[in-house]
Amino acid sequence: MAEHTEKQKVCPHCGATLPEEAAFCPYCAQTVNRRSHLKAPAKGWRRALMVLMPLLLVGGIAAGYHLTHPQICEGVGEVYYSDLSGTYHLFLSESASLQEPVQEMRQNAAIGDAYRGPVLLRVHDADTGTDAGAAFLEKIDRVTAEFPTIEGGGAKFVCTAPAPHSAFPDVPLVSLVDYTLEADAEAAAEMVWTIDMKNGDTIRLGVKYILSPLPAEDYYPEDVPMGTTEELQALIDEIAAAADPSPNVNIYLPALTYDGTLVLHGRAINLYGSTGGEGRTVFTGSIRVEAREDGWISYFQDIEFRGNGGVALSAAANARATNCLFTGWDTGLYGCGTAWINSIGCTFADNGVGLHFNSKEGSANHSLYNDNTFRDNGTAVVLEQVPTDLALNFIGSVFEGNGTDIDNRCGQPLDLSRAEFR
Amino acid sequence: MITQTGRKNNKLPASFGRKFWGGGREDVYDWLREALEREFEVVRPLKEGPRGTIRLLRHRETGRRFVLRQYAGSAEVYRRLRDVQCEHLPQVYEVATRGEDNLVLEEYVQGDTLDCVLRGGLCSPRETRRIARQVCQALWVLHSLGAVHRDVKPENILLRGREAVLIDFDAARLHKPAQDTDTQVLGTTGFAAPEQYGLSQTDGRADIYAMGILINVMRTGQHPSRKLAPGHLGRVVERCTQMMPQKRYPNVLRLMEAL
Repeated sequence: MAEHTEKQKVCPHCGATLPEEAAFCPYCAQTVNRRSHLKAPAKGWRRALMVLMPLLLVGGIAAGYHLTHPQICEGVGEVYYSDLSGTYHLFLSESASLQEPVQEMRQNAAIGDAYRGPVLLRVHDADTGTDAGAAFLEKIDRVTAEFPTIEGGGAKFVCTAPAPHSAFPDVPLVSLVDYTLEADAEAAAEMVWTIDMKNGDTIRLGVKYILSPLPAEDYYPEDVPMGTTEELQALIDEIAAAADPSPNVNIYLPALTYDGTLVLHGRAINLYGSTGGEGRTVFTGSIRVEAREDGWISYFQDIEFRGNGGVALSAAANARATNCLFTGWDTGLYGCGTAWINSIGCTFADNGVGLHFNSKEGSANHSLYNDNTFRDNGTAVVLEQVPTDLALNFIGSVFEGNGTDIDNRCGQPLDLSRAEFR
Repeated sequence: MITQTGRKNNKLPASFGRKFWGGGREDVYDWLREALEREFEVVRPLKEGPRGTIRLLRHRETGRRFVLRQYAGSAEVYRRLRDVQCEHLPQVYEVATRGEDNLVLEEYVQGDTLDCVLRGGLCSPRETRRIARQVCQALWVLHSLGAVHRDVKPENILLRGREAVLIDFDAARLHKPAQDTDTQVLGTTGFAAPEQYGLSQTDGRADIYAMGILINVMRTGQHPSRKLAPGHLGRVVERCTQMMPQKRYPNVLRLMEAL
């Protein structure tokens, strides 16, 4: 048997040498530690009676109330509600493809950025599992959604009134949630749907929204060489090759003119042009966003794309251009593959085509194409293929002097009610 | 690895007592693993999942059966249970940790799960109260140790004769009042309390929520929003399953009194 040291002890049952911390001897299968026998305190009858009597009284009153008053159903993520015609399974979900209730929605958010996402109410017949949304809608008097409490502070949540939505034709009610994380800390809020039925019943459904700060990695020209397209490409290659890079990579570009082609690959990278008084960041060559499956969006902001033919920004993965200028190109912004592309506050001037949507697959991540100016293009917008039937909303956008304003080849639903055509 | 058909060998290796004992928990891990390999054999796997495995072992010398859990995560709750005894909790014999990996050797409780029993029929009000009280006893011990079970459901309750034993503390965690948020979302959909999915600190009242669902399922087989247990038990269920934790029973003793 091994010699004893100060870190050892002997099993009192079989004499085996054990580590000092051992609570059990595996050689004789006996415990070697002291154990406390814990048991909840015996029931105090007097105390119990004192507690139970009022409870029973209240319970009796409550039972009487329930027999004569409308019911209130509550649940988190899901609830079963019965009326005279049957039982319904109501549940909240976060995407059209998911048919499962969700109790919690976790999102990463860059601090200060505004996001929007849907919360879908589905209604199934509890017995057959089939969709019962249409029949259930008939029974609703009023439905509201709100965020009554926000935990942790540092975040804003608002939501639209639940209503049918064109992007989710099979879903009876949808509320769109706008959220912004304002501090570098996790924040959460409970969203509560209140459904008042015509028969006086009330259904309350809750879901938690939890926002986590998106870790960011920022690159500035004073820290990293990015004075030429080659240097910038080398930086992008290095970031793409990193084993575990931060999810949100921001490159703040200097006021320079980059020529030649730049390729974004491997992961989403955000490029921010110069907004100081020293001039603008200009690209005279193309930027190509290669196909990826991760769904992250590459943001391009405050950049001037000044070309002489070709495609300014070609995206096979999600991309969004904000406050950018596209001028002198065969095509300004081109989306293909699984890309969802957006332009917000951009100017498309003197291009063959300003914005060309030609993506076969993918999911929508934004419906707004607001505050753009499409001026003197051959065709301002070509919609050849657009994934999903989401209505594209051109609110605040101006179409002026184009050969064709919108070539909607795929018949995409559009909201042009607040666009301006001059 | 523990072998399925390891040959019986009670001899200790020459290095035993020197190689593995440095005094730290990781050394106990190595020691326990080796000792288990030598002194026990695997009877059969009980459960395998992404977070670990549970196996039924037999002590070669005595023939006694034990459950060995190997899983990644925190073992702090098991470590606290190692020093206590309660007839409604399995006895935890040994706990060893290396990094994120844990070995937990515990009592093998022979019996059917409540889930299995409920498939054969619902519980009477009397049975429901008895089982619920016993599970509350187990929860009282856990809560007294500063822990929350977080996964109270029929599959995690074994019926050993007339005794209910609450098992599976893999989802359990210690309640730290100063902590803002749980680090992981665990639990079983339908049985987990609302705050368990969110930022509110999970405390003992999350288990009270799950107790409410459990009591209702024992009586009706269904979630309370679908069919509430009749009578007094239904009212207990309603109180347990209030959305706001403050409106539930403040602790399991109060729930036991109500039962």
